[in-house]
Amino acid sequence: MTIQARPRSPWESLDLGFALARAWFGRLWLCWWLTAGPVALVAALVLHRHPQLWLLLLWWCKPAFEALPLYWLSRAVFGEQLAVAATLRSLPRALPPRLWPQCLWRRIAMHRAFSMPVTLLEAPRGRARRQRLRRLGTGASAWLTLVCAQLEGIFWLSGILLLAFLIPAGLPMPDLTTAFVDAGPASYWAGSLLLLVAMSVVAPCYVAAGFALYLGRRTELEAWDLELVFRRRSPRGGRSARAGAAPLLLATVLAAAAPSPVAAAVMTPAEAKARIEAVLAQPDFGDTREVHVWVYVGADSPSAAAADDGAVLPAWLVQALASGAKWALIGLAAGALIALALRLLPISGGAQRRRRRRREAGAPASPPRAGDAPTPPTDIAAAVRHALAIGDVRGALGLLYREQVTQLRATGLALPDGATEAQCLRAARARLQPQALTRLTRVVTLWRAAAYGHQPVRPDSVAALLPAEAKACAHNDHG
Amino acid sequence: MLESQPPSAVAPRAAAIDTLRHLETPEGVEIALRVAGPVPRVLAFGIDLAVRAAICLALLPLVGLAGMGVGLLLLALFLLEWLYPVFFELRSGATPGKRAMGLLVVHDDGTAVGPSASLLRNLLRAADFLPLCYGLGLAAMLMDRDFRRLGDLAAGTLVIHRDAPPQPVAVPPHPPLPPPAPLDLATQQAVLAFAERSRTLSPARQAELAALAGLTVTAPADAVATLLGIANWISRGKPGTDGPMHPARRRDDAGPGATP
Repeated sequence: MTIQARPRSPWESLDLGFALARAWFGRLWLCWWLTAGPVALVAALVLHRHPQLWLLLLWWCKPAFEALPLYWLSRAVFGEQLAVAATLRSLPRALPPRLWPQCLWRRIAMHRAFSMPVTLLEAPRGRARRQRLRRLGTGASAWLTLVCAQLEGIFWLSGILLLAFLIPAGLPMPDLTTAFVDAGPASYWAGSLLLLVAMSVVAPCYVAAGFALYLGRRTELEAWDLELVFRRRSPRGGRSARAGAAPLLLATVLAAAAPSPVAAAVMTPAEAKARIEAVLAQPDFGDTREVHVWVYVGADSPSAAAADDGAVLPAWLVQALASGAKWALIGLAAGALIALALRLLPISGGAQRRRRRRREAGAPASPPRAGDAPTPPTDIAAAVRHALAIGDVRGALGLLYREQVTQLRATGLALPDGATEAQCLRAARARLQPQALTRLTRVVTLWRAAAYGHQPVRPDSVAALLPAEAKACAHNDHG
Repeated sequence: MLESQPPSAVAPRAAAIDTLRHLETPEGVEIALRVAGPVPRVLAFGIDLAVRAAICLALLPLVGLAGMGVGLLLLALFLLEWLYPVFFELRSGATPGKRAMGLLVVHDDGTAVGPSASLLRNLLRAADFLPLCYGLGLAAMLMDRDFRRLGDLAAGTLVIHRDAPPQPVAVPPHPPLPPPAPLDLATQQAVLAFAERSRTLSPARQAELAALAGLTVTAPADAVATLLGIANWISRGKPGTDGPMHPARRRDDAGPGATP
């Protein structure tokens, strides 16, 4: 099936019909004209004095014109798109005698689009037809007829107005009423022809929507979508007879949906393997490409090699040249290495010099470390006072902090070289007396502010932290 | 056995003619919008026209208020003509007519329609109306794959069929039966759908479909019953154990064990 079978509401079925008409509009339009064209021509010859009658006749014969598009569509939906010649050949089958009632006493019926597929394709008669229509029918078909009549009218009037708009401004504007009222034959014929074109444009949509409504209703009542799934699954079902109502549809459904019986037959592993290999050997899987590579296949025969060498250069000369080139290369490389080393040495020497200069300046660039720091002076207090006197608050704080760390180490605290101030404090908190701890905290705070925060620290606050002064302060506090 | 693979979800859809528009969300969830065609939309427009005419009629007594009343009436007509659809589309996604026909206006990525898109598609009614009674709009609708008129094309919107709230459909009760062989997903879904829709199918058709399914080992007379049993098996699981889709049973089983 070329349409997706799924349960649809009647409105959705109508939409599907419009989608079908859009997909195959050219073919359906052609099918409509194949029957309508000759009739219109012959009728125009006979009724050339009565355009109204001509139009009425064409309008009355619409069911006959719609039979061929319907026939074509009923084939196309199930995967068989007839060519023009085949369509012409199937005319007698598409226009059976049971079409006559549709054109005579059933012409004025709102559900024509829907009753046509039932009548023409299923061909029930009399009471069976009435029952079938009652069982399948929905109210949507009447709405479809109404809307399609509106569409025809709109397209007709739009066409007339569009032509009128296209008349250049200089020309006299024709009286548009003559297209509707039978006054001047020429403009009335033009209007009638436009109506015929509008009919032909809407007819494929009308037929397709009615047919889709019919298909949708049968899909709902007979669960065609489930049947397709079950058929795809089991090959056995594909061959079993089906007591469906429409033999025309049945044949095509069977042809379209039944998978080949070979596919699902039980296979032995060996057969399956052979089959898999056959499939994998198809050009869809993998690819072949040509690649050129050099492969060493061993030395040529010695005589040929000797002949070659002898022809060009003597062997010793080749040897000498090769070894000479080799030593030249080695020499070049060694020279380059030496040149590189010579070039790099001054840089490292410069770095050493820079470091030395910084140490001479006495400005600790980093928190003092036990490893590479100069040994602390023995008299801390004197050194601190000296530093404060020359205005080096930062150096004084560094000395104080280092002295504290040294004392902490002396108490047996294992401080790593890279310990931060915070780590020192944390370690000291468990070991020191509260008084000493307060002092250490104060030193660390000031040291951090000076060394990392680059904040100005008052020298007297540093001097107050000297061991002697601190002791005095403590005495004062206690006293 | 390449030919007997489960029906791919993509392959038949690519070729088959349908009115679905498939979208994939960033989470990888595929959703299908059911695009609405000319017939429901023309009817919805007719209903809206009737509603607007009724409002106009109700406002007609304003003419009695002399100049001021006529001015107010003209203002109301203007608002009805241009902003009536915008108001309702922004409020609930559909005008009263569209709601009556079960339609919904959305962006073409499936999100709810926004102010700019709604305004654009309704202002462009003027272009669709040309040359007479929406002639151009209807022609565009017939030619477009998603039945969009010019306003829809410009605003990037779609008119779709609103999904009905899902009704709980019960599988007819039947003693669960194990399927004779593991079933692929499509077949499982088909078996469940068969059980759910079996009430709308004639008994003869039920028997025919059940025979087609080829899931019966025994005589084909009770093929329908077998299929119903398999459907119960799929939806409730093996009797006496925790069903995969039956939380009530699981709670019952857990009850006595949890409270010694």
